[in-house]
Amino acid sequence: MKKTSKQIEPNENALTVNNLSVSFKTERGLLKAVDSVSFTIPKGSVLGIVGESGSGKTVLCRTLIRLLPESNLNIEGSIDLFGINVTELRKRQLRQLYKNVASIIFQDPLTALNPVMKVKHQIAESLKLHTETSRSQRKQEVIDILELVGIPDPQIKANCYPHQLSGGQRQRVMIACAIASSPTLLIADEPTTALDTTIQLQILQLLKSLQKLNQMTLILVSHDLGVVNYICDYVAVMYAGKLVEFGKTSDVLDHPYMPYTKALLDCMPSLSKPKSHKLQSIPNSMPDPFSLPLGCRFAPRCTYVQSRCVIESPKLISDSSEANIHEYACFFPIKPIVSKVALTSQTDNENT
Amino acid sequence: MKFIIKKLSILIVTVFIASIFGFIFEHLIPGNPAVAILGPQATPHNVAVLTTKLGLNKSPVQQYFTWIKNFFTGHFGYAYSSGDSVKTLIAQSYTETLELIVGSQVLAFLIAIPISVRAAVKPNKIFDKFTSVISFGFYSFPAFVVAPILILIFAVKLGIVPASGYVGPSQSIGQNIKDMALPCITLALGSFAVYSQILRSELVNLLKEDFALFAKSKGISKYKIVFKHCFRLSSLSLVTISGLQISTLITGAFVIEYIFQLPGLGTLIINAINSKDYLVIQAVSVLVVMAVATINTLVDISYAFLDPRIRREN
Amino acid sequence: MKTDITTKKHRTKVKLGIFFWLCTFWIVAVILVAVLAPFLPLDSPNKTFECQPFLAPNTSHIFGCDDLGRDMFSRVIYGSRVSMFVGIVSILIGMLIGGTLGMISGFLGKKLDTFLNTAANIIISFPTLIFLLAVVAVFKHSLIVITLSIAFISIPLLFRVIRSATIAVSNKDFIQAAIVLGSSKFRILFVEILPNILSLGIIYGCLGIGSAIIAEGTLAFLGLSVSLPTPSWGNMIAEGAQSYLRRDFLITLWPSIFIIVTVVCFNFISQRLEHQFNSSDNKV
Repeated sequence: MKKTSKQIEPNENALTVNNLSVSFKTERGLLKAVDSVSFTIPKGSVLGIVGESGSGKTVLCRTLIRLLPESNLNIEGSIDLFGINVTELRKRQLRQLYKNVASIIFQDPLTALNPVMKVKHQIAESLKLHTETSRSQRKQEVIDILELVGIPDPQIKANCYPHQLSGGQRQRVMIACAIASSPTLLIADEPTTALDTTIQLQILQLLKSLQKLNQMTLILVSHDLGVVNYICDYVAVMYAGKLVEFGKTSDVLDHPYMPYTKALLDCMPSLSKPKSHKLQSIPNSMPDPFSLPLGCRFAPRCTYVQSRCVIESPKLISDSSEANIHEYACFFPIKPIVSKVALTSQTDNENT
Repeated sequence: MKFIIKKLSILIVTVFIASIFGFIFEHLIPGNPAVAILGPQATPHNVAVLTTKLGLNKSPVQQYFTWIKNFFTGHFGYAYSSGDSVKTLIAQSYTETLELIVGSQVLAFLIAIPISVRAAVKPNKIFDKFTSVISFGFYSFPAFVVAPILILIFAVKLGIVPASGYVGPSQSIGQNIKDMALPCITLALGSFAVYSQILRSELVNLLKEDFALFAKSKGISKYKIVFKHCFRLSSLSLVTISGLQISTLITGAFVIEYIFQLPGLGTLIINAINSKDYLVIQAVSVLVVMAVATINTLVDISYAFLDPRIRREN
Repeated sequence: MKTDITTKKHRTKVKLGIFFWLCTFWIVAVILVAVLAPFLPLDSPNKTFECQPFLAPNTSHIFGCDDLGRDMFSRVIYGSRVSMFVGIVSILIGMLIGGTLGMISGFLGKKLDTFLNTAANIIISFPTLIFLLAVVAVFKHSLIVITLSIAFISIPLLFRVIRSATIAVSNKDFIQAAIVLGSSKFRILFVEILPNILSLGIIYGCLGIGSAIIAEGTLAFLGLSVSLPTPSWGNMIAEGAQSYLRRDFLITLWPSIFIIVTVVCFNFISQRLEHQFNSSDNKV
């Protein structure tokens, strides 16, 4: 399993999320899309957020930079991004954050890029806000960035409209827009989902190399554990708005504690597994966000379910037996040795 | 290309139907068209001469072709009441109608754009709700109700502008603007209501799109997103709407001209109806129908050129 | 598994609101008064010098009197007869013809549909007022001629709305199922499709009545609708606005208020119902 060789100093955290809840006011009542999520990642690391669609992963990552329209939104808890308290930022300060600190790329470049604006103008837009340069200089910078993200013939492609490019090129253009402001945090919201499988790897490699080159902290949202395994240092598993498992990628994927993570892993087809290996699927679907189960939200679908799971909601607990951080929310984790102590307080586990 | 050919063929069909209507109209006029043209004082000899001249004794198809030939060469006949050539009458009047329409559209856009941008940036806030009620009201108010109210306030009570009358811009530009102010405002209010409602909802929807969100994540302010990212897209639909509006607009202009006694096409045709001047009615209505159809087609085609996505498909 | 929860319908009924009921009340009242006008204790609308010309509103003549000393209140009431008749009857005719054609065309599709749709689009591109002016120029300005020509104009517009609604409904599973099961086309059209597009018909019918009232009002204002002295809102506004705006603007104001309020009510009802229709459609 891949691990970054970079030495991460303790206390140098990129992002600390504490007890974050996000709810929408809807006609049917309050919809809690993200429920009491807490985690911490160090600078320069890659975090993968995984979960089924509707698990709240997109809402979570967009809330991290307050990108959601806030008219019917309620955010509780705190987000500490490089020492900036994101939840407290005012509109103008938020724009400063976007200009200099954080960028995001979306799933579908076809809808995220303006269809009636040339590629070069869309990239120049981010550049212009970030740095004060002359027009001709900026022209060159746009070409440089396009070259950096691996677009062939950047001089020609810069004058294209998004629909004139291929899917992979469009995604590269969106990445170019995002990194033009040299952000320290890049959020990639399912960047490869809309692409052909052959292109997916190229884009992931590009993201990885850019992350290394610019020393960025990268948050990658995906429902593909293979993608996460390939690129991420940390992984956060979401289920029905809750963070159910968090830790180093190698720990979580090699020894999942939470039955949901294991179920996700079992769903993954693998070429290395023998053909006779039966692919699993998780029965039923996610609970209706308006009528969540009382206890553990995964309980109705869990094969390990016991009576306690239905009545009581498990808190995120840390496995203190290991040196590395590995948190999970389950009363009956799948482990070789059942842990002795379960710490309910999360604040103690911030540092690895 | 296929698209343009399709649009052009529809235009040709429309113009053809309009010409058929115009032709039939002439024959629906009670009595002999020759009598109608010459008036009741005409001698039987003159009627006979004109009947042959108009080809009324020929077959309907031949008559239609003669009519078409005359119409497209600008031979609309002579006004029965004044004896002037219909062509001259139309040439004298259409500039007034044009001035009214262009003026009102400029005004409508000038009011609609800032208001709908402001409303869309902060949807469902007081400003948005207030302006949407206002535009809903103006949408429902017909010109013949709005105009008297405006005349009452601005001409009768305040006396800023004249209630009716018209001085050409060549004589006195200042007086011309004063004369045109109320008619233009009356016509503009209706268009404003349509444009602002459409632009507002269009912008609200566009601001929810991914590309607007992505632009926001670059750190661009909301107003800049509207003007730099959304406007080009929504201007496309505004072009379509103003194209569809042209028919409403011309008829609205006709009524307003009549109210304010402006010597435009509207006053011309309404006076013609009252004095049973059939050839004037025929010429004006067929020309207006053809103009509207042509403008609609041009708008459709220009739409294809404005949108780079459609441009590619053709 | 709690499948029962996810399948349970969440019927949150959107309230129509007080304004909707006020508008409905107004329209019902105007229709009733218009129909019953001859039986109501009103002054004759055409009897001159019933009172002093330009009399200000008072207890016996609550809207005052016009230039010829006719009671404004009864003139406005009698004026509503013309507007309401033209508005409702023309749209009923238009809905009957345009709606039926739209349903048949949308359901059967193919060449008939292409032909009718193209024809409708061409007719729609004709300016309506020009058509009306041409008609009144040739024929007499009678109530029937005006009603029929407004009905004619409304046909392609209503056709288009009903046609697209029918196409949308026809593509739904239950209609497809009915076709597969072999129900007769007639039955599907009237038993399955009609109830589903009825609400849309009402929504656009209300909108159409509003526009028809304005169209008649415009003609009347231009002196091309029912001839004087029969009152209609449009010709009353014209009379007041052209000659007596300085002297007594109330002559213009009363019919203006009535026509505006009535048209706004129709438009508002239509808008409100459409909102209701859309929100309930999305929920199920």
